[in-house]
Amino acid sequence: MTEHVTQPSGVILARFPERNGRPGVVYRNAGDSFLLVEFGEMVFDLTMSFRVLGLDDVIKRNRPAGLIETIPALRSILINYDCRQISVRDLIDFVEDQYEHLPPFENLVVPSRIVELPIAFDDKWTREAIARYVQYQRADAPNIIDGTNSKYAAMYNGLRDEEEFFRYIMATDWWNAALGFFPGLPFAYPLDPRYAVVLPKYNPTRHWTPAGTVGIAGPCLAIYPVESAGGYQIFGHTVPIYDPLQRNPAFRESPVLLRPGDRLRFRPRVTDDELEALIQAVYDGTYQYVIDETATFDVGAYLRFLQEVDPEAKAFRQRQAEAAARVPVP
Amino acid sequence: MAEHTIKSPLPGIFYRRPSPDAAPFVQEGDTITPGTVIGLVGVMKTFHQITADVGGKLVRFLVENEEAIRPGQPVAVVSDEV
Amino acid sequence: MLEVRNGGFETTVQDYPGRIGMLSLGFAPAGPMDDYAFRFANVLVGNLPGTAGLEITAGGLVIAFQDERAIAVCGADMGARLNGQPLELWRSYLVRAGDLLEFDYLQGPGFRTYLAVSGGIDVPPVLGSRATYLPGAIGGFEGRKLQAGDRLPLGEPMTDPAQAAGRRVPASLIPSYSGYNEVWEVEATRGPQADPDYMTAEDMAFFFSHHWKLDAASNRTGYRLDIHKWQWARESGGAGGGHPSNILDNGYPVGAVNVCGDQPIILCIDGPTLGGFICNAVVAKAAMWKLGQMVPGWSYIRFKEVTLEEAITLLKQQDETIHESNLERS
Repeated sequence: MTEHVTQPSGVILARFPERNGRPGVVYRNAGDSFLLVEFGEMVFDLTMSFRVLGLDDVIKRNRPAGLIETIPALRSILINYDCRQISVRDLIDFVEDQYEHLPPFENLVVPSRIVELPIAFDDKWTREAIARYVQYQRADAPNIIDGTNSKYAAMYNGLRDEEEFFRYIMATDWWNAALGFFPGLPFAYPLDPRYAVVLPKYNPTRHWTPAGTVGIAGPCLAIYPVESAGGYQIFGHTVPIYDPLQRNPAFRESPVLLRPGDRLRFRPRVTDDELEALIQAVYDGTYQYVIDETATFDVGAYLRFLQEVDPEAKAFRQRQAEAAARVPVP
Repeated sequence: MAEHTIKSPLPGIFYRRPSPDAAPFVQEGDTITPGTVIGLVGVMKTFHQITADVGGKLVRFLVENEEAIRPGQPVAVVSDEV
Repeated sequence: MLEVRNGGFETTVQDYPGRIGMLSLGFAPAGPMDDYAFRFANVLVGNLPGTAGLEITAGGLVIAFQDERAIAVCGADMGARLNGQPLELWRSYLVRAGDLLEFDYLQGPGFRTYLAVSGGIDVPPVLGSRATYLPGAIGGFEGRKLQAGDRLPLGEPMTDPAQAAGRRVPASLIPSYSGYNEVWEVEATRGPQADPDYMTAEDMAFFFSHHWKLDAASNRTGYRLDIHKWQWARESGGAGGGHPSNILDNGYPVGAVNVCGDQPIILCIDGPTLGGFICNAVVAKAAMWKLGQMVPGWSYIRFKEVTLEEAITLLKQQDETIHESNLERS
């Protein structure tokens, strides 16, 4: 069954077509310590995340010697392995075997916490990061209008103005498909496709982004957990999601607040001053994060919901595509 | 008259101003004292002050603003004749 | 106990291979940038491979010893002096209570040097490692670089310090570092998003032949290279974003060359673990040490393409080289 295909460039190590309703798989060379496993096509399909997290789970449970860890993302799993202990060929065969035997996912009801996060839009922290970028890196970036990215974000998605863009951010729950980039950073995707905004990335990337910044690139929303470089369009600020000093009860078990499979919900909208007070309350231990620990996510019900809203979602995508075609990319 | 050079302990990019639109830390001809900041070295996204280790008159800079410098490279000449 | 009199420019506690298995939560491994020098320093003083030591970047560290230990300094020449006497690199010495070890600034090629002390730096492990991870402010000594007044606990030596002292790495195994304005040849494989799907064959030919200038803003997080106008094999990033360097976010291999818009950035050991830009190459694990000795703002890099098999061979050779049986008595 295993059919190892190689390209002249050596980048693709194996490729398998779609089988029995399971998306095709491509195994890409990622150096002597990593293997990238990609599922399906490069399209935004959130349901892929349920499959990926399902496969990731069985890989972890059956891990062979030499497999160090897996890094799941929306449509891929990056595998870190020790090439002195397991060959990439054996690793591919192992993953294929797990994928072959993966149970159907359509009827799953998975644990999925709901985490509510307050948000300030076009806040002083975001404006500061953008101002520094204009001053030190690129003054003529088309994605910066009036010292913000939000006006550009509205234009790029065919929305009336930044206020409508902010409403879209708050109108959908965000599925956290993966953590990474920096500690505890969520890669969250909109569960409601009617509000699935899309944005290009910075070019070049920002040298500096403050911790707590909320941004979007592609369809993906991220919260910067630490002060860092970054490539996402940024438009908001929220409470800490990472605390290495574990000063709040929410961080008692781990310095990382969020988990893969969490749903993020931005509410309430707050002012800069209100948010500053909330951040202070996080660090003095009095802020209580609003987390529904026992919530579950019904994949089947979600798939039915997607069908119901499909006409509206299609209409929005159409409007988006037309708008994006008229707007320059950075 | 004795001349002394101020050296950079670090490799990196030499800056004469705290930020692009600010005035230079010091001008040629200025009188400085030990500890006076005469410039910054930017490396690894951090900026380190270069301070005078002697006092006197800053006669001239030996490197341009935003020029790459090596560790131990003289960046300015100081004269004890004020 | 080690008493820090001057922390220098950037000195951190590190261990090898760092914080492994945490990429999926967003924790880069950290550890020494030049693992070749670091590991040899540990071998010289008779430490186990996972023992923590110090990474000294660009010099300036001054420390005092409070008991008898074997020490070794490997890496860039910073004019190290023990009680005022010049200390030879790549050699183990015996130190006693009250001895003072001083590092000046860089005296020649190279950028980092490593201090191993028999017994190791015994800071508490955080999430499985003593390595300082600066972007996440965890590990090492209080999650930060060292400063005057810090007192670092030491572990119990595995071997008699007097026995471990007086050994050296043979000259044939001491790497020579490329100087200022000189080129480092760095072995790398093609990455998961190279040609033909993401870049053109011409893009990759340019990538493997150009002498890339290392930007002064490079650090343990990323090594920034020149801006280049790539041809690209795609018009846009599709669902990943508007620019052809964009993809739907996936895990990043440690050591990957991440092309962000027009700019390639090598993701170093404190780098991002996941993101939405392509990775067109991955530095061979056995070549990662070279990054640690390049001088930001001065060094040039030429990537030498190797196959996966060649990269694995290099790694095995390196493991055999960094071994106690290769040391000489001096």
